[in-house]
This record gives sequence, structure tokens and C-alpha cells, in this order.
Amino acid sequence: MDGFIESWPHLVGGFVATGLVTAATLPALVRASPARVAMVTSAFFVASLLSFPVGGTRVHLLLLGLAGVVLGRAAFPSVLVGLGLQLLMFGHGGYTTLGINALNMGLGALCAGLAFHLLPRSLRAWIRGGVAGFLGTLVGLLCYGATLLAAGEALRATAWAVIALHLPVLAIETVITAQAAAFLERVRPDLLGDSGGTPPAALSGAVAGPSGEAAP
Amino acid sequence: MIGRALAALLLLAAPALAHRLNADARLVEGEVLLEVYFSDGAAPADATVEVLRGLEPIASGVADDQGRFRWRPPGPGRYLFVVTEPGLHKAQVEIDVPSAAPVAVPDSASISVPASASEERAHARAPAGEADPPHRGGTPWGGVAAGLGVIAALTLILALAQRRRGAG
Repeated sequence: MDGFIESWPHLVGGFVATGLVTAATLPALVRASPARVAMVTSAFFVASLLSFPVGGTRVHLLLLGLAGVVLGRAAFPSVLVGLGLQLLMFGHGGYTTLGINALNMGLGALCAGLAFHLLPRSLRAWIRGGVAGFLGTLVGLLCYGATLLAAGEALRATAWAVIALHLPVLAIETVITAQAAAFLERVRPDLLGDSGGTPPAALSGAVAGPSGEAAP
Repeated sequence: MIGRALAALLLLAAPALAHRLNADARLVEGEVLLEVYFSDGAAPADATVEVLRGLEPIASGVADDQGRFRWRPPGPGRYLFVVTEPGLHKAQVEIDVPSAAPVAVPDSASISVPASASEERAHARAPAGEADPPHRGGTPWGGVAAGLGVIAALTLILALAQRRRGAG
């Protein structure tokens, strides 16, 4: 988005909003399992390398659904760190639009986490994961499109084009999140916060246990 | 299990590469040759090019399917090429055109008589002065390692902070 969004109120607003949401979700990150945070942040960071051609351009995976499902509220600062590292290490995105990008993607991850944990637990994890992956990616894309639309009439066509180009990503993310949720339910259900139906501390705001690790 | 999944994800990054848009410009026989490509070397489709002198747009066009755009500058000066691609990628590059832009003159020692008709056709296809594009693309392993290192360091700080809080 760097170079397309040049209105300073938008850019500054993006950083301010990202700062506020980060402040609100940072306690969840501090309470979350470090290994879990590292795993998700690393996957999100590397995901931008997984690009494929669509309609003459290239799009890449987002893994917002996975981030939200595993980390809950802690996904927002995790996404922010991942985006910052993508910018520093790969030159993806732009410095001026980092705030807006983090807000758009972070909100998607938060919605994914919320959807996964609010859906009835009687539903299989892969269904909840698929819905979370779909919603999280969709919200991220819609926020992205809304940002472009708010930037002016000139970017209206671009906004719709970008959303359309990412529809394959939406489908892939839905499948990936569903598969990941099903896999984790089999081998590490604690990573989904499904132990005994208790939502993760990162989402419910529960106090960390004596070990320092967030209670599942 | 998680480690294996993460390793698989990292290995998947090997063939599928980053997608930053890059632009290189150089003078070839008095023309500016602009080359646009993604980080993995792929050329974008329908990349529009705008040429600016200062803040004033003076020319525009579309790169070909190989990501190349040729333009003859009207005179010496500094020109900015802004490339926009439909997937919301943008790149720009500046080039200084000197007052006496060099024209490539073939070195007599390098002229060779083609030994066969196919070699003659190959010589005809390659314009004089236009070198093969530099190698581009490849997974930025250095960036991946550095990024993962930063994540590991931040994770360590988080773990130490949690342990300290738990002990306190």
C-alpha cells in the first residue's frame, strides 16, 4: 500500500489506532505461552514468502486465521511484529503504511480468534477453524479495501481489484486454518485452548498461573 | 510435531519466493531500458510506467510481458520512473542521463562470424549493447534467518519476563 495511501491523516490515524489496539492486547501477549507466540509469529513472518501468481500479479498467504485461532487477542501484537519484520527483512509493505497494514491484518486475526472461540464447542475443530480462517481473512481483506476506498475515488477500482485478486487466498486460508485446527485438536488441543472447554487465557483475560505460562 | 510443521512451512518457502516489486534502469544506446520484476524474477503483467522529470509527468506507458520498458529521453537530466502493478505493488527508480549519453560501439575484437545459420539468427535476436538481465530472484535466506533470530530473541525476553513475574 506504500505509495498508494499518501493522505497523512490516514497514515497517522493508522499508527494511532494500531498503538491503541496494541496497548489493549499486549497484556494478552505477555500472558501467552512464549513458544506458542514464537511459532505463530514465525509462521506469519515467513508466510509473506509464499506467493503465487493470480491474474498477472502475485499474492501471498496471510495466516490470519491461524494466528487468531492459536493466540486469540495476542494475535494482534504478533501480527504487528511479523509485519515489521517483513518490512525490515524483505522490504514488503512500506514504513508509512505499517500502521494501517497492522491494523487491517491485526483486526482480521482478532476476528478469527473471536469466531473460533465463540462458536459452539460441539462443532468439530476443523469447522470452527474453517469459519475462523474465512472470517479472519475476509475481515482483513475488507479492511484493506475500505482503507483504499477511504483514500479516494482514484483507488476505488484498485480496491475491488485487490479484493478480487485475493479471493483464492481466502479459499486457501480457510482450508489451511481448518486443517491446522483439526491437526492441533488431535495432537495439541491445549494450543487451541480447548482443554475442558476453557477458552485460552489470551482471550478471556485470565491471570497467568505460577509457572508464568497462561492457563489454557 | 509443531517443530516439524514449522520446518515444513519454512521448506515450502524455498520454491515460492517473495513478491516485492523491483525496478532497474540503465542507458542502452541513448535509450533508457527499464526492467521491472518481482523478487522471484517473474515479470508483472500490465505494469504501468510513469516518467517524471522533477514533479512533472512527461511520459507514460506499459511494460511488455517481459517487464521491459524502453524510452528515449528528450535530453539530459534526472528522470524518475514510477511503476505501478495491478496487485497494488509499486516501485520507482531514478536515473541520471548525462549530456553526452554513450552509445554502445561494438568492439572489433568481439565480432565473430557465425559458424551456422542458427548462430546467425541468435546474433540477430540479441540487440547490440543489451546485456543479459542480471540474475534476480531467490529466497532471501539472510532475511529469513535474521527475522527468525529477532523473533527468538523477543520470545526469550518474553519468557524471562514471565519467569520474573512468576518468581516475584
